[in-house]
Amino acid sequence: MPVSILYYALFVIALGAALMVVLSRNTVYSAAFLILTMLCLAGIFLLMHQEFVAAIQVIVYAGAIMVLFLFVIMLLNLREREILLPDFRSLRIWVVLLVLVFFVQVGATCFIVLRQMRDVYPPELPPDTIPLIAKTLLTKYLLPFELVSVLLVIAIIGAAMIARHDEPAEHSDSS
Amino acid sequence: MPLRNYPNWGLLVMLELFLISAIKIAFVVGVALGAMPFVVLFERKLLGWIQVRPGPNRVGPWGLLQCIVDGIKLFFKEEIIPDQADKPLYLLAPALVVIPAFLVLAIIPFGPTVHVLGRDINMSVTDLNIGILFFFAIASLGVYGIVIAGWSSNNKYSLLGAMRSSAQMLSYEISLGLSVVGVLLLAGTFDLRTIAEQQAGGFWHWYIFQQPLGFVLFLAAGFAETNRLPFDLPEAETELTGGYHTEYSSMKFAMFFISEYINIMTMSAIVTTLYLGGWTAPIEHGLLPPWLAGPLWFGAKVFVLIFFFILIRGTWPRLRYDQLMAFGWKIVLPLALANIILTACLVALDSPWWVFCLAGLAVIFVIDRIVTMLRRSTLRAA
Repeated sequence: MPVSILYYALFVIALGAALMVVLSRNTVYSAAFLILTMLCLAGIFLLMHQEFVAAIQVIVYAGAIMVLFLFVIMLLNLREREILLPDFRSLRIWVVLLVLVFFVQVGATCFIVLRQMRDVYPPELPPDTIPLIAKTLLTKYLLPFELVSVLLVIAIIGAAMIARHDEPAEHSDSS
Repeated sequence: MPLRNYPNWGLLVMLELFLISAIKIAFVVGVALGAMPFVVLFERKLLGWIQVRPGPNRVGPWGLLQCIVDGIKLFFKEEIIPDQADKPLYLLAPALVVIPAFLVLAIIPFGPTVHVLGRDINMSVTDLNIGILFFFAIASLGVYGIVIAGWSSNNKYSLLGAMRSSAQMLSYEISLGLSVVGVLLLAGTFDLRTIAEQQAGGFWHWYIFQQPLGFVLFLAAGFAETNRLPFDLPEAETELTGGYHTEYSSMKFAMFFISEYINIMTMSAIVTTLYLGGWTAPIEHGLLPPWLAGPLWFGAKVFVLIFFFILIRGTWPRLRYDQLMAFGWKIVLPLALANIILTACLVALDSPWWVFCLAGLAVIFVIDRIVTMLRRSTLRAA
């Protein structure tokens, strides 16, 4: 029983924090609430006995990506009134399309997960899931794993190329 | 550790688990908090001797009470909250620094499994099967306290310190994580207790001898992660008047101070567990019962590392910001990757331990030569 109470508490906090991400007027608060959401998700993973996934969730999302977010927010140091929202009207078609894709994705995921949960619940897992994850990742899902790595490398190179544009000016400043 | 068993356990077992955990937590936190003032005093004394001055020697014999007096002073100091500060986050930040520092203490195994009243009790608050990953997860959260403190203070020095620290800790976290993979490849587990047990039976079993390169890299990244000299750019008193905690006074400042020293202790403890055999004795002896010898050896090794931390602080200059980034991304990170490949190959070839040792030392030597040569050539060019 106490475990399921924890589940619900984490769900509620995660959803509440996610809502606050959107509703906060201050971007730093938004980022802080997003961190809270990530941590709650990690807690939910932990309660599902996925210790490895929980740790990775904290290390990658809460610990690395969100620090970058905060870094950028602080670097720009936007105050409440200075936040300029882009004009979404010209992008209307894309917005609709993306929302559709999002809902299809969520629906499909829910469908698959719920079907699996009906088959085996609670799922039978070995006491230590880390070797299992390692084995599946490097055998069955090796190709997707490598492709995702390549995608990430491409993204990094792209970001570096975009950032390079105004580097010469910066150099003359610092030296 | 086995969270999954909770629902099946009876109330008594729960109570027993709760009691044992409470005692362990009290012990670990007590030791850490109790040792912290003496680490501070020791640091000030040692720095004094390095700089040819006596260090604190006014309060109590040999200045022993100095840290207690300092603590009392911090308690009674006026608390000032800047007018333009973002109050909720400003008040939250010290807690965000202290909590991760203490959380990591939970996974450190400081002694073997002992039998007390017919029970097997592990000498650590908890043993996680993701042990070292938990450390990285919590360490990666430690930066938030600093970043939020710096931002919410509404002070340019604080903000600069916070930005330096977020960039620095992000950069070195990657190296920290990668440099430990060598040990994980050898150990085949994330569990810190198992890693320590594998190094039992004499100091030649310690992973430092199989992973000299990994040890050096981990230590360097660890220094950066704990914001210690030569990587103390987030504080940098001479440049930033204290950096991210400039605007904090009284006990809030003390919390930053405490967490810095707790971080040094936990980092030393993690290095001890990973590379220096944890609580195991360098040479097997039966002089003391294991429940006493284990924590004593562990404490001694941690003390040596803390000594090293202080020695570095007393003798090394602070890196410049670009040097810090260049060192992290161009030296530590590639070497950590090289160490992984090297270790993986040697593990696959099933090499004896001295091959690991020689290979690691050879890489260190070659890199040292290359860096020295490059530095000489740039000096000559300048």
